[in-house]
Amino acid sequence: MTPAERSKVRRFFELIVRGRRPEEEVRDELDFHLSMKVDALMVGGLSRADAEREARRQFGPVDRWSAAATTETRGYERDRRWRDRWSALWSDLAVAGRRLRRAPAFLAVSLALVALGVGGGITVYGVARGVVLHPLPFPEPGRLFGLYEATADGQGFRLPDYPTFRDWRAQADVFERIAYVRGTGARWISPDGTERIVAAYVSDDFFPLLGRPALLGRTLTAADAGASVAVVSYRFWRERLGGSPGVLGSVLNLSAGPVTVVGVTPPGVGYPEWATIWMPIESIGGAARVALGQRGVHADGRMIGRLKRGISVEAAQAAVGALTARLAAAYPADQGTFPKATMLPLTREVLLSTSASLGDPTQPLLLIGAGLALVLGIACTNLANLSLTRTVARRQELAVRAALGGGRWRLIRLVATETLVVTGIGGLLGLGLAAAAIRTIRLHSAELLPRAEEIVFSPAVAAGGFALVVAVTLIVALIPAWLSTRLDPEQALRAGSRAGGHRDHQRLRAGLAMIQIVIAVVMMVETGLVVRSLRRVLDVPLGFEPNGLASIWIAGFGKDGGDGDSSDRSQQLISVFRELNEAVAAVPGVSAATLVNFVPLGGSSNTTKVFLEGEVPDPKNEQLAMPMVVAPNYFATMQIAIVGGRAFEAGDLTPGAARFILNESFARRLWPKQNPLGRRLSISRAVMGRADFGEMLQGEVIGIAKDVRQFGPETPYPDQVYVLYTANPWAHMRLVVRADRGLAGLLPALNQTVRRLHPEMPIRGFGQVGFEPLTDTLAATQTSRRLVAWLTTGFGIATVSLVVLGLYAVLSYLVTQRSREIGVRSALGASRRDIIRSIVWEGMRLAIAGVVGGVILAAFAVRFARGLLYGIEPTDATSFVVAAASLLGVSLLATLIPAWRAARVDPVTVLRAD
Amino acid sequence: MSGLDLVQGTLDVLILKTLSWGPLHGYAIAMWVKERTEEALLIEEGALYPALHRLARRGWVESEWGLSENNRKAKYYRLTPKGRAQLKAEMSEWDQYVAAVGQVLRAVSP
Repeated sequence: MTPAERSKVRRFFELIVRGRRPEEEVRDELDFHLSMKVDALMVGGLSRADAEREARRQFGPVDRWSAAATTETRGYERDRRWRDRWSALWSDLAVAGRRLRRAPAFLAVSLALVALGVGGGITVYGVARGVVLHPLPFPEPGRLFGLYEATADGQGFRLPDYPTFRDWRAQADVFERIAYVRGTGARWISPDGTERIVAAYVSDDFFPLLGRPALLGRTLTAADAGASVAVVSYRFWRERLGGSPGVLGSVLNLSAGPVTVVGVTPPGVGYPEWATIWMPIESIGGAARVALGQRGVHADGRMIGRLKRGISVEAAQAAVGALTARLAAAYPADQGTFPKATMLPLTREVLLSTSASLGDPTQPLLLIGAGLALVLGIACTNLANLSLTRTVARRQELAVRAALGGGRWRLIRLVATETLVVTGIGGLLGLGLAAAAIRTIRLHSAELLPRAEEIVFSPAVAAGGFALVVAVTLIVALIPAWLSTRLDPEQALRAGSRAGGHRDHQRLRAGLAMIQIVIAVVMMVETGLVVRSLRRVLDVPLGFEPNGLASIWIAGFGKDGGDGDSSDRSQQLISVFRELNEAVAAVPGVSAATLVNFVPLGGSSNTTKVFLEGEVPDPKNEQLAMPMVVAPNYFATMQIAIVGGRAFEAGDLTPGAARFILNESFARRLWPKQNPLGRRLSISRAVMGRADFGEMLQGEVIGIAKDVRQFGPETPYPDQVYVLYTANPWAHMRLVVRADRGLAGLLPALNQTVRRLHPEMPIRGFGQVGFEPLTDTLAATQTSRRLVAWLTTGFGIATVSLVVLGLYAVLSYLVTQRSREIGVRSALGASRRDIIRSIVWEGMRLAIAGVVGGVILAAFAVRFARGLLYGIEPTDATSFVVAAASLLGVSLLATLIPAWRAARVDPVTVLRAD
Repeated sequence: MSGLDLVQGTLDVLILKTLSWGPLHGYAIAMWVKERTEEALLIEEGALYPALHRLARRGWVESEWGLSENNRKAKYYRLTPKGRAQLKAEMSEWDQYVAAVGQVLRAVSP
């Protein structure tokens, strides 16, 4: 007996013998002392009364001594209880450790399961948190809304114009504050050359509405109205302005004039996300200032509002609905088509910006969550299964303990400690794994993921991981532990070593293995659908050939920096664009160069009103289209097919009547069954704020172009009307070059050419340095779909490998358990083949049942993933067949090793062992 | 009351020393201490008990109920190995203390 056990035994008997409270014991002890003393004194000749008095005098205050002694004893008992608990825990852990060391295979498999499950889970959580779940960095973000105008049917949205914002601010009393932010490109003349930055002109309530103070200096207030002051973003400050506090008070030379920096925003805090610099909206100048005052100018200006506390979203919706209805009645020409309002939570708007190609951002989130739950579910059932298997193997030991009166709690603890060791160590491994994985992803996914720098192994992520480990431990440890206490000791003991495990447990183990297969099938079907969707997306014909194309943003800035707003300016714009176009076309290696205002995949857009000749204009039913301003060789350079009529020619550049080319969809919509060629129409010049804004441009349709996926492979074709850049000059254009070989090597020379001709042209700007290959832009539009495909593939691989491990473990154990039966059978003449076949059948029975169940479940489950799919039905047969077949295949592999081992069982050894 | 006041730690050492000859109950310990000190150290006998329980808590003594010489139920205390080590340490400390103080007090010249 160890000392610890000996003291336990002794305490046990002490309890039986006395089982009294400390104060009673002390009292007895003192009574004994006093009575001995009295006896001694009476022997010395005192009377009993005198002896008792003398004894008490010599003893001192009995109550005080007994109280002091009792306190000590109580403390002693308390100390001892704690010591016992700790030593029990340590001895349990030591026992568990010894047992696990004796089962290295079990230990390795379990640790791998926990480490992979937990590590994978935390990694996905960390990435999702950084990329998707990243909360808005403003106080009470739930009260922040983006405010939009909506069409009567609620389908179309529009950014409100500035006069509308002023109406709202005056009338919408459900909001604490409403602010307006107008985004615009600006040029910063830095010591390194001209750089393009994105400026946000904001109304005075903007920063107070968001509610975050500046990191350095101050934010903008009403007192800044009209002043040339600016707040800059943390990133701009760090990367471009040197990152020193001395930036406050320094002057930035912008194209619009010098501004003084008064503040820096905290890192990661900025709205809109693209903003580099914030300035008071009153300081906006030039044409933009004119535009700001016009109704109907819905260019990049957003309205945001902070809801008053205690006002529900429904109440606010009703209030702003009434407001927009009033405005629509007051300004039928401008507001008539958008009589409603929509409040989009700002948290959602930010999400949308990161998953543009998937529309609803909750879909990938749902997928990540579901995938995580499934992978962990499998890891847990696997572990529970293994742990259960071991519990059954120990059933005799446990039964003996139960028969000897070991309490249920004690038994549970015995089984649970082992799991605790496994999940503890495995969890730590998993955390380490996740930390490494998250680091790797952060370093290598800058192109693939938005906000990659936000992917960090933060304390919050670690805490989430810890919670995960605790949850896994509870699930995995308690179920088998509880089951093990339901063992009937008599049965287990009588069964001896021969029985093949408790029948209920065997059924449970098989059930768990089957559930895993079901889950894995669902996961694999999902993976198949998502991956196939991605391939469909990649295969979508874009209507033009992006390979070999690169583009740069150019603008016809004059020395004054203003946008073109006179016909003289128009001529200047045209000559600047033509000069640049010809210069880059002459660069050796370039096969063609062209111009366009909205390059496909570039993301920007605008609309213009289109009037058909001979039709009465109807403001309720306007024809709207995207005005494409191009050079004559645009279609040839982009390789966009002309399906009717002809393309533009150089001769069309000469002044005269305008000529239009429509895209197929638009032509079909305008004249469903008639020949569009030769039709006459007019469009309004759509450069907002320019002097000729809204003037009509009349002309004839000369050709029909094939539809182009202007906004990426997954977005429907817009209605487009092409016109030459000489007919409708646009202030900002894209210069596009085609080089069929060695595009990347040509980029520096191209940038040089632009810089040499127009040093004031910003070659460099956030997100773009000079010419950018269109394939890069294309990849960016597919980011979230790629991410989702990556994640599901990851989940798929994880589930399948976990399932293989699980099935393998269950079957291996089954073989060990039944080695006696197998021995008997081979002694009775069963061939190795028979034995292998029977074990494989055991496994495949589970696999087939699981696959059938999985296919049925998947048929229901995939409905929820419909939004993630593209170009295939959720019932896509290929995905189902591949999932089912691959699961059956790996299951077969998982059964082979145990089956082979069973076939090698030597009957003599096994039978003698009994 | 006259005589030397007893410091708590000193009583602990006396108890440990007393028990070094074998297990005793509280009354016997009190009597033994009284006899050996010839009542020079005046303590109330009851003070012994908090001290005994404190020593038990520290693991220096352990106790067990048994029968006394006149057949009554009595709690016997016994020195543990830990207590014996403690006694040894305290004794050598005491010797050093006595030697040091003695040297000072018997010094013949400053």
